[in-house]
Formats: sequence, structure tokens, C-alpha cells
Amino acid sequence: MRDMELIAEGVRTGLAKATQTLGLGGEWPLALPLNAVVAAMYIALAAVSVGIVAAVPIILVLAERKVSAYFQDRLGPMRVGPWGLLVTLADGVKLLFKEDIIPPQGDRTLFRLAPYVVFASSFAAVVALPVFPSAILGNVSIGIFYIMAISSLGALGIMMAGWASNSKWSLFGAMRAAAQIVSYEIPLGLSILMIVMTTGTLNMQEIVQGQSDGIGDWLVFRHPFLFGAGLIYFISSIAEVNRTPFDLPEAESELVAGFHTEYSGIRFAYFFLAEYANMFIVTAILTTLFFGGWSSPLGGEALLPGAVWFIAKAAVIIFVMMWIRWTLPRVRVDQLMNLCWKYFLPISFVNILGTGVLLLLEGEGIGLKLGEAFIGVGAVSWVVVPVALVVTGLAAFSGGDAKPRAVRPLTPSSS
Amino acid sequence: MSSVIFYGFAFLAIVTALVVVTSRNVVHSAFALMVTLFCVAAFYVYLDADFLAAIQLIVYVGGILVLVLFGVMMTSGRLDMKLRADAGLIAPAVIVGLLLMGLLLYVARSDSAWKRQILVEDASQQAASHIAEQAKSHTELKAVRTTPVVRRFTASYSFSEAPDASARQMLSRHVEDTIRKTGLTRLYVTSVRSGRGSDRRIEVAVEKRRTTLMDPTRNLSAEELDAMTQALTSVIPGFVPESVQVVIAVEPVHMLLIEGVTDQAVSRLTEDMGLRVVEDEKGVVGLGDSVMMGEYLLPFEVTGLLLLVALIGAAVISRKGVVV
Amino acid sequence: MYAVLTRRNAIAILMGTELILNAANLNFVAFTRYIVGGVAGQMIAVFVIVLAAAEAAVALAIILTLYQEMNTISPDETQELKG
Repeated sequence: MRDMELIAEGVRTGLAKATQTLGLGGEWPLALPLNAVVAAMYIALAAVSVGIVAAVPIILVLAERKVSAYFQDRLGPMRVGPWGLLVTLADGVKLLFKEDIIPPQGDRTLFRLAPYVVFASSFAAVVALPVFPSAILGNVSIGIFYIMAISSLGALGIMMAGWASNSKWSLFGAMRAAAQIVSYEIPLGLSILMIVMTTGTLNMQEIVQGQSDGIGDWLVFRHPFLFGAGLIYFISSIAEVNRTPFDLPEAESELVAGFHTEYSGIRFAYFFLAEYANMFIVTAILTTLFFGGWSSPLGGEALLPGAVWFIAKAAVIIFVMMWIRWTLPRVRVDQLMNLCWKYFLPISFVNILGTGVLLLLEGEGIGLKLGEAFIGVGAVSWVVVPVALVVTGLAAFSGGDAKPRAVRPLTPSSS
Repeated sequence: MSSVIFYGFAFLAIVTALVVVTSRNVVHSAFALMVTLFCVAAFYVYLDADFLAAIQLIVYVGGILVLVLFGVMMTSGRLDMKLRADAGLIAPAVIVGLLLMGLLLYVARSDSAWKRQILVEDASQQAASHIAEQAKSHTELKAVRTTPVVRRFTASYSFSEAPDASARQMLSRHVEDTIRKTGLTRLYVTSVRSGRGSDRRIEVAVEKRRTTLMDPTRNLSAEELDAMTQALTSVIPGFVPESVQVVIAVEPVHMLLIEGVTDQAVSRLTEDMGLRVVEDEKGVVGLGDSVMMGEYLLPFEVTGLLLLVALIGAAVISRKGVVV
Repeated sequence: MYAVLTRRNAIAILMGTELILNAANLNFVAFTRYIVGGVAGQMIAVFVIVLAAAEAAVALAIILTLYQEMNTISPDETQELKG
């Protein structure tokens, strides 16, 4: 709280100077009580957060429509505004005017509360994203950990929504969603652990600063274990935000609309906003942790200001996410859990082991700096590890003759 | 202002806890528990334990509560519980609760161990004693002492031409090797900073590993400083000697030991005297300074093992068809 | 405390236990903040959280199995030990 008071002091004096030069009288800002200034600052912070969480989905919804259209060889929304740009606005207006149905047998309090919980979790996470190199809305010393914590709250909001809707489909959707989110938090957390091991800090800004020496310094390219971690993080984060191929909870063709079946109008809009905002948050974290955040490929802040790089990278990753959505079919729930527990988890453990070994051997400076010779353990591992993987794979999968498994007869046999 | 928010959280925590224990609908209880746990996390933040707050949110709210909700939703969560059915047990429960609370308040009141230590940045001895004198005039503080301590020294290497990128790593390795050779194993390199742009210095800062934040053995003694100065100003392998100059700078700070009762008293003191608090007795549990990995490594491992066993046990128990 | 002794839903009892553990944790951390002498209280709190998680997982597994057997989770009706 102390820091906020100091900043508020600065704001007050700054305001005094500004009003003085503008001729509005330079005395009254100094008389404002410090508490009020602090409160106003907090409110401004919250407003900026809400602004981001509201503005980003607007752009993303439009992007999604257009991208999906082009993938499907059609044009997408063209009539609403020039080239379809006002589509989200139209959607929003439509949702606002819909009838607000609350299921009568359902739990009214929880029903009303659920969208806000989910929205609150996205909104709280936006604060800690390091978009700008010099300033960050909330430079929490436990940066990435805080974001993980806030994402867990979203899962609870979904369960609340599912339960309160008093319908089997919602409940199942909610439980599946919660199970999915909670399960995929584990490979997510382990990948983040690798990042923290390599950079030695939980602070988002410092993680980005450790990557600002050019494209070779980006954590994803430092050694194959981190590359694997980035891949696993990317896939797990698609599962976390419930997008295809992991979008069982929404499952437009299976469970009607899953946990938000019974929601209509503005309440549905909240869920919708939260989902796209979550997508942005998760992408932003991916760029921060693995792809260098606001630093450009040429090191530091060459060519374009940091914020532009950040948004550009996030946009590319979001595009890839959308690409995947409209290309791959949905995954079954048991396949989903299988993937997480039987494949991602062991792979993550191996990754952590590998990262630990490499850190021990070379210390924190592993990575290919721009223009440096191809030396060092980190570089060598790009050759060693894939070879080791191939050899292991061959050894594991070529054991013995593969007998075809006994096929169960479709009709009961007479034996 | 911040106390308004704090009281808000406190009130919310108490109310939701009451909802948890008295609500007739188990699902309402579960969600009220979520809010209570969230408020407890907020309290941890107020107590300067933000790592713990994040752990609380992730493990308790995001893990245990989800499990509990699954349990509630899979068993008949719709049963309304009769509250008055077991009236005989209510009275003892309340009495025991109140007794425990009384015990707690009693312990908290006896302020025998309520000290604060803050580290104040100041250079000179006179300034420090001046501060101590002034501090005595704040009557709610029981005792104030200052001690000059040296916590860290910085070796700054200035080059005759701009150092290249690998210089930082080599220098930090060199310092670490020197530390090992002098046998002062508790020292370690905390940071290596290079100036940006045209600044041709690289600074390596060295501190002593600590067990607690205010560990008095953490101060660097004169002999250690001498030994390190001698060792570091000798030839640095890999660098041409003329192009590098080493300057060892020592940063003394003065530690103010204050025995007082409240946070406000201490912050009023530091505000009145315009002191800058460099370090405070804040609990930072986490990866930063590896208290968890250093001192508490064994319990950490054991607990991890226990958790694994519990996980396997839970999975085994809940298989269908197993009769315990 | 009240919840643990009075409620008739096993899961509600579990929730009461969690509340007790949380209260204890809060005390640990609070005392660490104000007493000079390291971060022991926070470490204890971390371990308590972990152990509470383990215990909750096992307890829920037991409760769910119980539910499958006896179709109820009220502790009164599931008493098989007389006395």
C-alpha cells in the first residue's frame, strides 16, 4: 500500500502542475485527500482492465468469424458495416435485447452469480500481463503464479453455472469442463515450472527481460526441452479455454450448449466475453513466457515499440488457435483425459528433467544469441535430444511381433 | 482506505463462513466456502505472504473446492439438512469454539515477542544515531537501536572498450570460482548488471546466503571483505588485464531494531523521519531466495511423497466394486 | 468446529474441517508476520495446505465409496459401530 501512496502523491503534484499550466488553478489538486487519489487510481486501474477485457473480445469475435469463413471458402459477415466490421456490435445489441430467462427450478442466486465469477477471473488476470516494457498495470512479484491462481477461479464459475441451471446437460457439461480445466492445469503448471527454473523468477517483466537479446534468446528456442514445453503449454492452454478440439463443455452438437444452455441475453454475453478474453490472456502468457513478450527478434525493442510486438505475436498465436479450431474435429472426453494424464504428464516430467540437467551443465545463459557461433550445451542438445528420442521411439515400438488383438464378436457367439 | 477494504474482506469471510456451517443447502455451503477461502487468500496478501496467497488459491480453491463440489454434485446435493435435529451438540460446539478464540486472543495480547526489524538506508554513523535519538521520542515504541551492517558488496569491472555479451557470464563465473577458492562458501552472486548503451561497466553483486531474512550472521565481516577484495583484484582469466579495472564497493546499511506493537507506529516513524525502508521483515516464501529449497527441502520432499501416496490411495479407494 | 460436530452431511463435515485448517493457517501466517524470527509460520502454512489437500482427496474418495454402498451420506445413518 505504501507504494500506491507514493504514486498517488506524484499524481497529485503532477495534476497540480498540469492544472496550473492549463490555467485551471493549481492549488486544489494538492488539497485532495491522499486516500481519495489512491481510490481513484484503483478505480482507473480497474476501468482499464475492464476496457481491455471488453475490447479484446470484440476484435476477436470478428476475427473468428472472418477467419473461419476464409477457411471454409466463404466470405463471412459482409453486410454489417464496411467489410463486416460492426458484426460484434450487432451481436452485442442482439444479446442485450433478448429475454432474460431464469430457470424456475434452478438455484437463482447461483445462477445470477456465475457469469460474474467467470468474468471476474478473466478481468483479474489481465492486470498482470506485461504488454509494455516500461510499465505494467500490476507488476506482481509472483506474476505468473498469480495468473495461474486466478484461472482456477474460472473453473469454479463454470461449475456454478452448470449446477444452477438445473438441467442434466448443463451439469454434465460443467463437470466435464471443470475436470478438463483442472486436469490440464498440471501440464500447464509443469511447463511454467520449467520457465521459472530457467529464468529464476516468477516476475513477468523479468522473464521478458531475460529474453530480450534477440530471437535466439526466446525461451522456446533455447533447447528442445523448452520447445517441447512450449508445445505442451500451447495445447494445454487450448484445453484450458475450452476451444476445439477440446470444447466438449460447449459441444454445440452434443450437449446443446453445455453449461451455458440456460443462459440467454446479457448473461450469455458475459460467458462469451470471458471465453475470448481468456483466449487472449492465455495467448499473452504464451508469448510472454516462451516467445519473448515485448522484445523484437532483433533484440530489445528494435524497429517497433514493445507493445506492438507483443500484440503482433499474440495475434499470430490466436490465429493459429483459430486455424486449429476450424481444422480439427472434436476430441472425446476419454481421449482428452488420456492425452493429459498418460501422455502430457510423463512428457512434462521428462522435459523438467532435461531442463534441470541442462541448467546444471551450463547455467542460465543457455541459448543462441544472435550472431554467436553454434556452441554450447544448449545448442548441442538440439542434435542430441531428437536423436535420443528417435532411438527410444524405435526401441520402444519395435519390440516383438505385433499380434492383432482379439476382436470381440458383434453378435453373441454360441460357444 | 485500505483498511476499509480489509474490513470488507473480514466481514465477508465471517459471513460466508457462517453460511458454510449453517446453510441448509450443501451446494450453497460449498460455494460459500469458495468465497471464504478467497477471503483468506486476501488476508494472506495483507500479511505480506503473497506466494502463500497464490498457493491457497490454486490448491484450495482450484483444487480442493473443485473436488468437494464434485462430491456434492454426485451425491444427493439436494437433501435439505434439518438443522435442529441434534440440538444437544450445538451448545458444546459453540462453547468450545469460544474458548479456543479466547485462548488465541490471550496469547495475542501478551506482546512479549512483538518486534519489528527494519533496514534503513543510510550511509553514516551519525545519521544513524540521530535517527535512533529521534525515534525514541515516539512513545509507543518501546526500544530503538541501530546497528550498522554490511550485507553486500559490489565488484564493478570497467572495460576500456564495450564488453561483449559473454563477458557477463564469464565475470560471474570468475567471481563464483573466486568465492569457492577463498572458502567462503556462504557467499553467492546475486546479480550481474551491465550498463546499457555506452556504459562500459559490469557490476557483480555478492551477498551471503541467509537462513532467515534478518539473520545476523548474514552480515559480511571485515575479514571476509578483505579476503574477497584481495582475491578479486587479482588477475582475471580470459581478460587482458589492462583493459579491465576492478573496484570493490561496499554498501553499508543501518539496521533499525524497533520494538513496537503496530504497523502504523512503525510506518508513522519512518514517514516522519523520511526514512527509506530497504528491507522489512516480510515473509517471502518462494522460489526467489530459496527458503523452501534450502532449509525446508526435506519436509517439502516428504510432503510431496505423502501427497502422491494419498492420490494413489484415493484413486484405489474410489474404484468401483472395491469394498473397504 | 460447529460444522464438524453438528452437521449431518459428511461432505459438510469435510468443509468444516477445511475451515478449521484454514483458520489455523491464518494464525500461523499472522504470527509470522509480527514476530521476528524467520518465515517458519508461512512454511508451516504451506505444508498444512498440502496436507489438507491430500486429506480432502482421500476423504472424498471414502465418502463417495460410502455413498455407492449405502446410498446416503448422513453420518447418523451410516453408523455401523454400536455404542
